[in-house]
Amino acid sequence: MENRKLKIEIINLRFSYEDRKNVLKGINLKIYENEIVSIIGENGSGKTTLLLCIAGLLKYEGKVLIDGEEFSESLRRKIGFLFENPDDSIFMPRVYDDIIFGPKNFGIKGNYDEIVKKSLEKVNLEGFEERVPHHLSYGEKKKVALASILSYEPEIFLLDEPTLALSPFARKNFIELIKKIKGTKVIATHDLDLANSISERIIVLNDGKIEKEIFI
Amino acid sequence: MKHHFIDRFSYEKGFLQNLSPSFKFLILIFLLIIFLLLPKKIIFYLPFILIILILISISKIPLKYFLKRILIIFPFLLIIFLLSVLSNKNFQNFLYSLLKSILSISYIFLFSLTTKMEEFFKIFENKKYGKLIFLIFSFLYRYFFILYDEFERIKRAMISKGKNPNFKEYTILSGNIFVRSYERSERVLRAMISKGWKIEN
Repeated sequence: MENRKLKIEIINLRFSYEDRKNVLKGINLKIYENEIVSIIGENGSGKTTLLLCIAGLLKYEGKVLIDGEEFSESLRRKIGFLFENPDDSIFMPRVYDDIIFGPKNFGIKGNYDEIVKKSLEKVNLEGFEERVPHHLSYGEKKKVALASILSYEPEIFLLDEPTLALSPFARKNFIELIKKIKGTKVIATHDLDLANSISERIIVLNDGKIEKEIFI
Repeated sequence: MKHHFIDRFSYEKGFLQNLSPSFKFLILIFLLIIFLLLPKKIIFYLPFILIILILISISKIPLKYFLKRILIIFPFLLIIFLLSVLSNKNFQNFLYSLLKSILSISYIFLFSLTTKMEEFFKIFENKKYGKLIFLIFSFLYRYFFILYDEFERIKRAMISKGKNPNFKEYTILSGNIFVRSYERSERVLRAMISKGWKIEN
C-alpha cells in the first residue's frame, strides 16, 4: 500500500454542526491512489460528514490534503460526490442537462453530446438523454446521478450509501458499475456485504472517531 | 406516485405538439396581448373560443379533461371578480374581464399541456439573462413533483395513524414541507457546488 501514491490525507479533522457538537473528533486517515475504502458505522457516527469534509463542502478544523494540496476550488474537479438521495443531485429538467452540468461548470471543452452519450453508456442507460428525472425509477436516478459525475472524469469518487434502497437486482447491477469505475473510491455504507466484497480496507467509525481499520 | 403533469399531453403526436416551443411561446404572448385589447363585444371573442376548441381536438387532448382542469380556477376568478363587481357595480365590465381571463388561462393551459417543459426552458437557456430564469424554472418544475410526493407521503402517514387531515393538520403539514424543502435546498446546493457551480454563476 505504502508504495502507492498518497491521494487523500486527513490530519486531525474535527467538525461540529450548529446543533450537534463534535461529530468528527480528530480523524487521521491516509487513502492511496486507486484504493477502495469503505467507511462503516452506526447512524450518526459521522460517515457522511467525513465525506462532505473530504469534498470541501463543509468548513472543518484540521487538514484534508488532496494530492498533497489543501482543498481549494481548483481541486473540486478531481472529486465526484455521489449523494445518498439521487433527487438531491439530479436537479435539471432533463437527464442531458444534468450530465453536462459538471463539464460546463468546470469549463471542459469538447462535444457535449458525445460526453453525455459516453457517460450514459458507462451506466448502461443508453438513449436516456431526453428523459425527465421524475419519470425515472429510483435505480435509474441513481445511475443518472453516477453518470453526472462520471461526465467530468474525477479521480476520487465519494459514494454515500450507493446501494441504499435499491432492489437486489438493481443493487447487484450498481455494484458492478462501481467496480468498473477507475479511480480512488471512498464509500460510506451500511451495506456490509458491499464493503466486504468491494473494498481493500474497511474503516469502522464510531462516535466521530476511527475505532478500527480492517484490511481485506 | 401518480402525478398530474402540467405537460401531460406533450408526448402525444398532435398538431400543437409538433410545433416548436419558441414559436408557440411567441404566439401565446401575442394572443395574451390581443385578449387584453379586445373590445367589449362578444363577436370578437367567439373566433378565439372556436380556435381553441379546434386546437384541443387536433392536439388529441380530451375536451372533458381540459374543461375539468379549467374549472379548478373558477372559484379564484369568481372571488376576484365578485370583489370587482362589488366595488365597481359594473356587470358588463365584470363579464368581459372574466371572459378575457378564461381565454388567457385556457390558452396558457393548452400551451403547457402540449409543450415538453424541458424544451420550453431551453428557450431561455442561451439568452442573455435567460440562464437564471432557466435555472429557476427548471428547479420549480423539477422539485414541484418531489415536494408533492413528500406532501402525499406525510398525508398518508397521518391517515394511517387515524387522522384525516383538516385545516389544522394541513397547516402542520405545510410547515413540515417548508422545513424539509429548506433542508433539501441545502443538500441540492451542496450537490451543485460539488459539480463546480459557483454562486456568482
